[in-house]
Amino acid sequence: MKKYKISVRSISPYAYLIPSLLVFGLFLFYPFFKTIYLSLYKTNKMGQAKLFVGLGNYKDLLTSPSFYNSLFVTVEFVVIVVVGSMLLGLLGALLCNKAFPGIRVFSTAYALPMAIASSSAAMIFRIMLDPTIGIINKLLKLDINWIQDPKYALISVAVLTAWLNSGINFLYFSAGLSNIDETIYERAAVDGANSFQMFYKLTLPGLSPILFYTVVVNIIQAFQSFGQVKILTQGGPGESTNLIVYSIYRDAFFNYRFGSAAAQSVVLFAIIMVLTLIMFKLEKKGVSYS
Amino acid sequence: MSQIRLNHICKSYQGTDLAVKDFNLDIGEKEFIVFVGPSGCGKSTVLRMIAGLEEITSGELWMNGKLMNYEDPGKRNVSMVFQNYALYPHMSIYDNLAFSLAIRKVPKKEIKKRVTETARMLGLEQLLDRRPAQLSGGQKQRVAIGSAILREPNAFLMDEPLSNLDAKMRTQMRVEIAGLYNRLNTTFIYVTHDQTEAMTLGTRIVVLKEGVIQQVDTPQNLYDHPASRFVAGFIGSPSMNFVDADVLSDASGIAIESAGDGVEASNASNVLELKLNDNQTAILKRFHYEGQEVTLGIRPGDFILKKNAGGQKENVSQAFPVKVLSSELLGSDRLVYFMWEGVKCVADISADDEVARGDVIEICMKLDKIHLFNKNTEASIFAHGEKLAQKGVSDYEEV
Amino acid sequence: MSDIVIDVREKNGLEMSAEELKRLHAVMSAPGKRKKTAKKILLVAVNTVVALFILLPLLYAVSIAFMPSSDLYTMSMNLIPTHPTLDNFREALTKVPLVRFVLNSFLVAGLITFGQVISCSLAAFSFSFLEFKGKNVLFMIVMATMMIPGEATIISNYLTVSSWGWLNSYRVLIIPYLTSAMGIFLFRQFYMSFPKALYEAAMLDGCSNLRFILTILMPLTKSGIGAMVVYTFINAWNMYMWPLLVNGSNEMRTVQIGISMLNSIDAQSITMMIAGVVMIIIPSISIFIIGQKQLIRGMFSGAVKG
Repeated sequence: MKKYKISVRSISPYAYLIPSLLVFGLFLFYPFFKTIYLSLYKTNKMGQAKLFVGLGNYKDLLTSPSFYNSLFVTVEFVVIVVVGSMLLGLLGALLCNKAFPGIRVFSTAYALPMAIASSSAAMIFRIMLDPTIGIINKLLKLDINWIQDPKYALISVAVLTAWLNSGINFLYFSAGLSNIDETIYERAAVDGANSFQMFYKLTLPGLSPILFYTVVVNIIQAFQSFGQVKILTQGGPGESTNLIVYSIYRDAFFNYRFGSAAAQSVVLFAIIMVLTLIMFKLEKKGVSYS
Repeated sequence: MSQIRLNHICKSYQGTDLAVKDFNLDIGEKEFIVFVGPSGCGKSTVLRMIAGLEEITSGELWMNGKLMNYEDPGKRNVSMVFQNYALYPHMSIYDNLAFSLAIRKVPKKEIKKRVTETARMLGLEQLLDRRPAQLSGGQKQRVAIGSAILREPNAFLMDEPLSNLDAKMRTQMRVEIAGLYNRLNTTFIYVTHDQTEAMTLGTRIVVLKEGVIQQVDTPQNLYDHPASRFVAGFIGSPSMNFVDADVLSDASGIAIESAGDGVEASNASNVLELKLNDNQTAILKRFHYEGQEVTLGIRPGDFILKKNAGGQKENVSQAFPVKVLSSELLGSDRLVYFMWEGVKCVADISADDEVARGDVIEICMKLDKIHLFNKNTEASIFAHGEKLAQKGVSDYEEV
Repeated sequence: MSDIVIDVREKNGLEMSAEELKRLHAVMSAPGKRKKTAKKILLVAVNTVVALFILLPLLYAVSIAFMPSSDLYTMSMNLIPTHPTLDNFREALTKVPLVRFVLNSFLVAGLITFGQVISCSLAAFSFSFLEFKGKNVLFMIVMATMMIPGEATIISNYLTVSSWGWLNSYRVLIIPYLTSAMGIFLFRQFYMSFPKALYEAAMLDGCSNLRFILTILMPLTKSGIGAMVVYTFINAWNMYMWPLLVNGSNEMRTVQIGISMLNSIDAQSITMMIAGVVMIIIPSISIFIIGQKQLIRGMFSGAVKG
C-alpha cells in the first residue's frame, strides 16, 4: 500500500505537466524540428520532403535578391514600428502619469489598440488611406496613393502596426513610471528641481530598467506581423512590403516551395532566438536599480 | 522674531476630518524640534506642509517673516531627509550628493569641493562611485543626510529618518545626528514615533495625538511634568503606571482602594492612603477635587522597595505588599511586574535587589513624583493646575 | 494690487488683523492657483488631442459604419455621417453569416481561454509546489518555447494537421493553443509568492492536489487568472494567420477571416464592410475595457515585480 502511494507521488508531478507538454510537443517542438528537416529538402506540392538538398535551400536564399529585399524591408519596417509604437506608448503614459479628471477614460483610450485585431485594423486603414475617399489625404490635404505607391506602402503598413502595438507599450511604460519611487520627486522638489529637470533627470532614466525589455519585446512582435500585410498590400506593390512572415506564407501557399519557406522560417527563428536571449540576459542582469 | 512660525495650521484631505487641527508653534533659530506621536497623529503631515509637499488647508506658515504657504518647495530653502532615503537610484553617490547644487548650476569646481568635504565628514569617500542599491541602509541614510546638509539650508526636515534601520544602526545614527546638530548649528525639525529618539535628540519636543498638539516642552519638562495622561504614558520607557484613586475629603491625600492583588490584606480597611505634600494639597483644594475620583500616575522608577526606603531624603509613601508576576533583569536595572488595583504595573528597581516571580514584596512610592490626572479631561491636575492658578482660575470644572 | 502685497508683507504675521491675513492669503495664493488651473486645463487639452488621434481610426470606422455610401463618396470632409443609417449593419449581417462567425469565434476563443487557464494552472502548480526529477530542465524547455515564434512553425503545423485530416474543424483552431509558456510563467510567479507551508498545511488536512489547486490556489490568484483570461481571449479572438490557413469552410470560420471576406473595393460594400468590422471589434473592446484593471494588475504585479 505504502509503495503504491509513493509511486503515485513520484509520477503525479509529471501528470500535471502532461496537458501542456503534449501541446508543446505536438505543435511546437515537433513542427520546429520538422521545419528544420523540411528546410533541407525539396518538397512536392503536398509539402512532402522529396529530395535531400542539404543546405541548398539556404544557398538559394542567400543568392536570392528577393530574400535580401525581404530581410531589408523587414528591418526597415521593424525600426519604424518599434520607434513609432514606443514613442506613442510613452507619450500616453507620460500624459497619464499624474492624476487628473478623466484619467481613466484617457488611459483606456491609449491602451485600446491592443484589443484590435491586425486584420480589422488593416481594413479600417485601407479606407482611411484610400487616395480619393480616405480621411488621411483629406485631413492632410495630400494626394498620395499610400498603398499602391511603393514609396509609401511600407510606411503605411508600419504606421498601422505601430498604432496596433502602441497599446501594450502604453501599459509597459505606465508600469515603468509607477515603479519610480514617488519620494524621489519630492526630494527633488525640495532640492529645487523644476518639472523639466525632474523629467530629464528622474523620469527618463527611471524608465531605463524596462526600456531594454520593451524594445526587445517590440522588435519580436514587429517581426511577426502578418495580417496587416496580407490585407493591406499582399507584399506589394512590387515586393516593397514583402515582410519575412508574409514571404514565408507566399512561398509555401502560393508557390508551394515548402522547403524554401521552411528555410526562411529557420532564419526567422534564429533572429527571434537571438533577440529573446538578449532579452533574458538583460532581465537577469537586472537593469533595474533597486 | 522666530525663524519658523506655524499659525493656526489645519490640514484636511478632501473634506474629510481634519488631519491636523489648529497647529501653533514658534520655532526659533538653531532649535532641534522633534514632532513625536503615534502613527497617524499628523506629525509627518505638518513636516510636509513646512516643506511644501502638502498644501496647507488653512492657517499661515511664516519663515523669516515671509508667508510661505504658497511658495514652491524648492524656494523655501529647507532640505529634507526621507524615511526611505529617496536616493536617485540611477545616479552615483557623488551625483546624488551633487544633485541639488548641479540643478542650481553651481560651478563644477565648487560642487566637487563641497561634495568631497561632506563625504569626508560622513565617511562616504570610498562610496562616491557606487550606486545607491549597493549601499547598506546606514550608508544610504548617510548619503541622504549628506545631500541635505550640502545645501546649507535654513532648516533640516527629517521624516522618520531612522525607522528603516536596525536597532544597533539606529542608535549609532542617532548619535551622529546629534553630533551633526552640534556642529552645524542650524534648525532641525525631526519627526519620529520613537520617544527615545525624541528625548535624546530634541531641544524641544512637540507631542501630537490625532492631529492636535498635546504638549510642547523640553525633554526634561515633558518627562517630569507631562500635561496629560497621554503624554505621561507616551513619554518614558517603560511607560508610566496608571491606577484609579480617590482624593480624600480634606484633600490631604489620596486613597487607593485595595492592596496589591493576590496578597492578603495587611490593614483592616483594605485601603492604601497616601499623604500628599502641602503644595499638592493646595492645588487639589483650589480646584475643588475633595472627594473626587482621579487617576494616579507613577513612573516605574518612582517605586522603591521598602527596605531601601529608609535612606531616602524624599517623601516616601507607606509601603504596601504586592505579589510579583514576573521579574526581568536588564543589566543594572530590574523590572518587576505586579497587579495592583486590577492593573498590571511595573516597577524599575535596582538589579541588586533579588526579586523572583511569586515573591511578595513591600514597595513604596516617591510621593513628590506622583501625577494625578482628571478622570474626564485626562489633564494633569498638578501641571495644569499650576498653570491655571497663575491665571487666577479656581474652578476645577475648567481644568 | 502690488502695493497691498508690499504693505502687508512688511508687517509681522502676528500683528495682522484677520482681515489683513485674509487679503494676504488671497493675493499670495492667486498665482499658484492660476498656475495649477492652467496646468490642469493644459493636461486635459493635450490628452484630449492625443486620445482623439489614437482613437481616430476607431471613431472614423464607427462613423463610416453609419454612413450611406453616398456620404462616403464625396470630396468634402466627411467625418460624421449626414444621413446616419443602420443599413450597413443589416446588410453585413445578411451578406455573410456574421452571427455564425461570431459564435464560432466565441466558442474558439472561449475554449482556448478556458483550456489555457486549466493547463497553465496545473503546470505552474507542479513547477512551484512539487519536487521531481528534471524539474528545472523541463521548466527551461517550457520557457524556451517562447523563443519559437508561431509563424516559424506554421508551415509544418499546417502540413501536420492536414495529414491528420484536421482541416476545417474546430479542434484545429483550438487544440494547438491550449497552453502557453507565458501563462505558465505568470501563474508560477504568483504561486512562488505563496509560502510552501500553505501547500503543506493543506496536505496535512488531507486535501488532494487537485482540490488544492481548485479551492486554494485559483481563488488566491484571481487577478492573475483575470489578466490571463483577458489577454488570451483577445488574442484568440484576433487570431488571423492560423485560421486563414486551416479553415476554408464557412461553418467553422472565425470572425477575423469571415470579415475579410467582405474586404473588397466594390464601392457599394465599403460601408458595409466597415460596419461588419465595427461589430466584430465590439466584443474584444468590451472585454478589454471590462478586464483592463485586472489585466494591468495581473500582468505587472505578478510577473514583473514578483
